[in-house]
Amino acid sequence: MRLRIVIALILTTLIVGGCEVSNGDGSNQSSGKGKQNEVESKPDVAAFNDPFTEEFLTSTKPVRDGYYPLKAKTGAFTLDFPEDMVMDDTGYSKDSDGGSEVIIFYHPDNDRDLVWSITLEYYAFMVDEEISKKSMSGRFSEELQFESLESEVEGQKIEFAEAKSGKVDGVTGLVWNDNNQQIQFYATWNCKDGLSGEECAKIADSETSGIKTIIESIKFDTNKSE
Amino acid sequence: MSLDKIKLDTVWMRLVDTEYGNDPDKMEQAFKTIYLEETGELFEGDVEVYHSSDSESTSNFKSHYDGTALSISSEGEHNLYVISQGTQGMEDWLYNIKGPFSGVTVKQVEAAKEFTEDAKRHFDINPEESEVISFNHSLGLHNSGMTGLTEGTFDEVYGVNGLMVSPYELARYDFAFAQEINNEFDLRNPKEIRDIPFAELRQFTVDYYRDNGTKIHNVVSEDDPLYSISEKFGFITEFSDTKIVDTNPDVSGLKEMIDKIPAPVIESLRVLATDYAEGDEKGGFNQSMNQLLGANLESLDEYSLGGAVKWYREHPEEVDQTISGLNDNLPRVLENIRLMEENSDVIFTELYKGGYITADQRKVMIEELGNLEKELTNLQEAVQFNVNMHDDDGWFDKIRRGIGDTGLAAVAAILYYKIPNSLDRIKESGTLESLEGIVESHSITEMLNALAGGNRSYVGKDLVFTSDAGGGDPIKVNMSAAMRLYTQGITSLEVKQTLISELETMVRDELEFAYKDEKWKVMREINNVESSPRSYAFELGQHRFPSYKVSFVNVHHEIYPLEQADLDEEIADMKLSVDTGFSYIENYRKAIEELFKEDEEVSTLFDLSRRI
Repeated sequence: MRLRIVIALILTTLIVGGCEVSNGDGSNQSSGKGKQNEVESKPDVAAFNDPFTEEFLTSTKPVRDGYYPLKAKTGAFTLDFPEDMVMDDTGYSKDSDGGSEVIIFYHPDNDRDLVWSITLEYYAFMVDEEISKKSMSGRFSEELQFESLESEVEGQKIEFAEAKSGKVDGVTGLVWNDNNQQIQFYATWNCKDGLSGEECAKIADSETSGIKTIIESIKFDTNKSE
Repeated sequence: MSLDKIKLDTVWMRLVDTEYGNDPDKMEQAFKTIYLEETGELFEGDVEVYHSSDSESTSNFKSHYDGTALSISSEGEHNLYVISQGTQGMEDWLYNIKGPFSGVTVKQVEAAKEFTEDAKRHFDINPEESEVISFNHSLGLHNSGMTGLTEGTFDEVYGVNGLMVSPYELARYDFAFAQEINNEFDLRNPKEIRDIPFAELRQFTVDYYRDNGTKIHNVVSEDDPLYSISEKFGFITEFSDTKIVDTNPDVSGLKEMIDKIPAPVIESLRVLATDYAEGDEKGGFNQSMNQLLGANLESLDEYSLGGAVKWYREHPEEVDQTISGLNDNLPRVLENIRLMEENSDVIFTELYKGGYITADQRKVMIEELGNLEKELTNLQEAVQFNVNMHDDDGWFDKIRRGIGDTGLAAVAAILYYKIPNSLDRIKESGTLESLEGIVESHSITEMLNALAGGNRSYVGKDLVFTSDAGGGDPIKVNMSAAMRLYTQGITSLEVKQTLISELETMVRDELEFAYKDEKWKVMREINNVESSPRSYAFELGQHRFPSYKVSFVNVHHEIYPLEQADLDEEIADMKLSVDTGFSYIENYRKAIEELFKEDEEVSTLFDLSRRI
């Protein structure tokens, strides 16, 4: 009986011509070679060397020097991701309805004089940016003074603030549009032991412009708003 | 009258339970009723209600927050009480408990803060003179506790079966705290917080927030699953004074049991339970299996060889999806099932000893977990064989794939026959139903019943008294319902009484007075005609007899008395029905008072309930 089953199945197989295994993202993965090619051409930078971070990166070609394109898993926004940072998979979260997504990324290279940790919180349901600015001040334990940044995306607004009280070493950014989409961007920095406060502040100042460019690169997909 | 009694466990817990009804219009009445039922006193102060849906600034968080603020004042005291709901279901929290702090959760914390600030403005609360107190159940305590600890939003936070907060979340939310941790433990990136020995991190966290000024109180069932599991995942209970209550004496404490099971096994149970619960919510048992295994069990109606071949030939895309889904999901499920299977004796023996399951259920669960583990291993091998045979390119490709696909019969057999067979035996054993009691221990009602003393108990949101009067089985009386019946009955009978009086007046006005009025008008007209006949010469037809003149008129007209125009009998009947209603209600009250004749409180409750 068993032999007959096997023969029947082999015959059917040859008629149908074999079935292929879908890897779940719509592309067919009948062989591992395509993937292998990708692996070979992958840039040798921290972002691509971390498998979790790599899942978010949409191209191996940089969008500008040192940054690769990232797309959120909700599909709600894209940004330029710095090649020398990686995501914290244990801190990642995404609500099943796509209403929010939280991404945390940081410099994995502990030899760096100054390392940044960034918490990016996306929300599809925030109505009033003034209330959000109050919440952000609460999280930084001081009354933050926000200033506008130029946005290249139509309908998007950006504000930026630096912490000054000394309780938190960091900067924040708020990006929003009229579709209730909002990103709260918290970047904090941490200096290597042995560096003086002054030296540390100097490095932080010089690197803040790079952080600002990440905030400015954020683009919402308005089709994903609630 | 001091406001302290509002902080009695049974008062605020019932308030929280009522708030879940989402009816702000009834909150004032509900508060006064609960206050009366729990303290035996009438609350004569002022109560004002403010719901989050009326708060413009809280609407920033759109539909992700629900809460009610009560401004309560009496004899010079004026406090603000805020009840916050946690909107996520328990299965979501079983996901979150592991560590990630979801975006919606962060927003709930911020919304709880914003709503409280807005309520302070709305009621003009002066924080120097008034207390701001938060009442919560479950996840509400977590949200209020977070903003209480980090931002001093509340003076006191109360929770029933409340989920506490973890240092990992605090570090995510409060950047000043995160910086202190970095400095103290010399961390360079957010992931390294997981490397700090938990005892040290916990102590540092407790010390850091020790003087924040917010007092947290948590009353917890020793059988509450959320509490039992949360401590295992690093949630700190030291922030609060925690009162542990045995709410289900039929079983031994869940926490004690969970403590005996190794942490990785608890983690496996958590993963399987959350996947199962999420699938179950979406579409019952089949969807749960789909969620767990990544395969659709409904692809074939019933297992047969013909079915497997037909399935393969006619629905190749379903075959692809199934193999791909299994390939992705099976390793994780198998790893978890294997861990559970290895520990199944401990798990199910503890559940049996704890009183949650029977000896037979224990036996079935151990056997079937063994079978499931065996079949899932076979399934994984069969799937892997198929995938390996597909995972190459070359001239031999099609034949390899064909051979690989012969293994599909084995996949189908396991999926459609063997696994459901094991699951059917588990279902038939009733184990899942037996374990449902665990979830019940998270409810406010079970806690209220455990806290209730004497003859008091609770059903849903209502207070129940039990009487032993008259021998026989104890008689349970739903006092909340009885008082509602009494006060609403009396009120509606009083309304009826008023309406009957109005009807009586109307009958008199409309019939008697109108008859008299009309009669008077006719008599007046007769008098006019008789006293001035010439004025009516034309109407009397004098012009038809030119040689005659009207000299006098004598009107012959009889006005009959008003007969059968009274509604006395009907009105008497109506009055009687009201009197009967009153006597029914009073008899009902007397019968209840008779049942509880040694309890003077019952009579007082009836009297005072009418004054709410």
